[in-house]
Amino acid sequence: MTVQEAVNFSLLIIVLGIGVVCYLKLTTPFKLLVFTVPVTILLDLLSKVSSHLYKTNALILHLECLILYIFYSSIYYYLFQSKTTKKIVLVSTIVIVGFAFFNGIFLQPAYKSFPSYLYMVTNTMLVGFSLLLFKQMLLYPVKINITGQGIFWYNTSMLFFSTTMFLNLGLTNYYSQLKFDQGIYYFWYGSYYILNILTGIALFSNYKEKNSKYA
Amino acid sequence: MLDENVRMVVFSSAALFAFVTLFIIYFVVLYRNKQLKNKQEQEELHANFRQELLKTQLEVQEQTLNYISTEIHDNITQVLSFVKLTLGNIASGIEDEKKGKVIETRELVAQSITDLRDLSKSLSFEHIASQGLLRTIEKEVERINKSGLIEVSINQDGNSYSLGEQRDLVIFRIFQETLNNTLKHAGARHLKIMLQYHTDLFILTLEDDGSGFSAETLENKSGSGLRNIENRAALIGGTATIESSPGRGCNIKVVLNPLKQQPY
Repeated sequence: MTVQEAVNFSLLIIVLGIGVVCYLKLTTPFKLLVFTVPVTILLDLLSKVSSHLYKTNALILHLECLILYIFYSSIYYYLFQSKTTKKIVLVSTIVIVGFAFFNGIFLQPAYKSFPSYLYMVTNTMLVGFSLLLFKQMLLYPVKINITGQGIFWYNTSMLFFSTTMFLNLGLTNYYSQLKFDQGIYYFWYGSYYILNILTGIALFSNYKEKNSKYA
Repeated sequence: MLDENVRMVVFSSAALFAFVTLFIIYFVVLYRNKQLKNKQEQEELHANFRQELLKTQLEVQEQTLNYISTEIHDNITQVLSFVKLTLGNIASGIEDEKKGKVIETRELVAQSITDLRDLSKSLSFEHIASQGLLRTIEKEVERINKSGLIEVSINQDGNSYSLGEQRDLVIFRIFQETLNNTLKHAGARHLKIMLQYHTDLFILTLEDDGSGFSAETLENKSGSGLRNIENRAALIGGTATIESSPGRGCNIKVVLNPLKQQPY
């Protein structure tokens, strides 16, 4: 295990710990967010096993992208107030699932190809959802300080992660041409560190929110 | 070449990171402004609601007082007048021994009729409006002094003017409330009333030499009386300050700018 992997794993364990401790006091979307952490840990482990046994983890990456998208879009479904937006989230999730299967079978075979198309589509959707949620927050502000709101930290984590992953995917081929694999490595892990840290803050903030006088 | 490309990539990544960070900061500032604006609007709504509620309460009070005034004038005094008349008729036809008692009773009834008429006038909004504030307070002072319950003195500084019907009425109600408190709770022997009429300021001062009350009582504003005084003053754009301490009586000052426009 490299240092970057160890740091990432440690962050995931810390976030999982925060999630478990605060679980009972969290709202439904944030309870779902807690579940993304053990799912990520499990898929990371499966990825390592697959790489070791089959010299490829492409299938795990396909699954990881789809499963995490379903989780994150479900969280957005609960956070959005507008029925129209909820329908859009629901429909987009069904479409993405369909696309994931189509992509895995025809465009970028799941047993050998990195699912870059799937990552691009899902990250674009998540950026769209985060911007819509920011708009909703502006239209319906609550009394709690914004830095104390779990929804703000979750949305920020999604925006950061999705935009940086989008850039990362765009640069992957360029890095490969330059034989600059380190670039992919650091960028990838940097994005995950930010995601995990902000997820932990989001969970803790949601826990504190529920205990505040404005809850 | 590689270094240059790497530098460019790092620069692009940093630029993206900076852009997203700036967006987040901009959003936080926008959100905070929206929260402040919402809070201000809520406070305004609450203040308007409280004022409307108070206005309604006072209007209901005035209507009730007017109704009572009308009932006293139209019914009770009429009945008593009839009783007085009947007693007069009885007195003329009985022996001297009992005649004195009947005449005495008749005089008491006459006194009750006069007192009830005065009370009816003090409750009636129209009567207060027609007489003006100063004259109405003077009549009330006469009535109280006649009762012997307390000695009330009234002084005026400057030429009197009307504050407007509604404001005159509210000031008079404040005076009545204070008088009521002084008679019921203060155990005072003297009450001084001062009306100061200046061009841009009207001041009503009511001072008694009663038992006074502590700052805690003032804080809790026990009973709705003291609260009512402050609320009524605020409703007409004035301020009421109430100062008192145990053993040192009570001083109530109502200050109002007659030139300031106020909806009520």
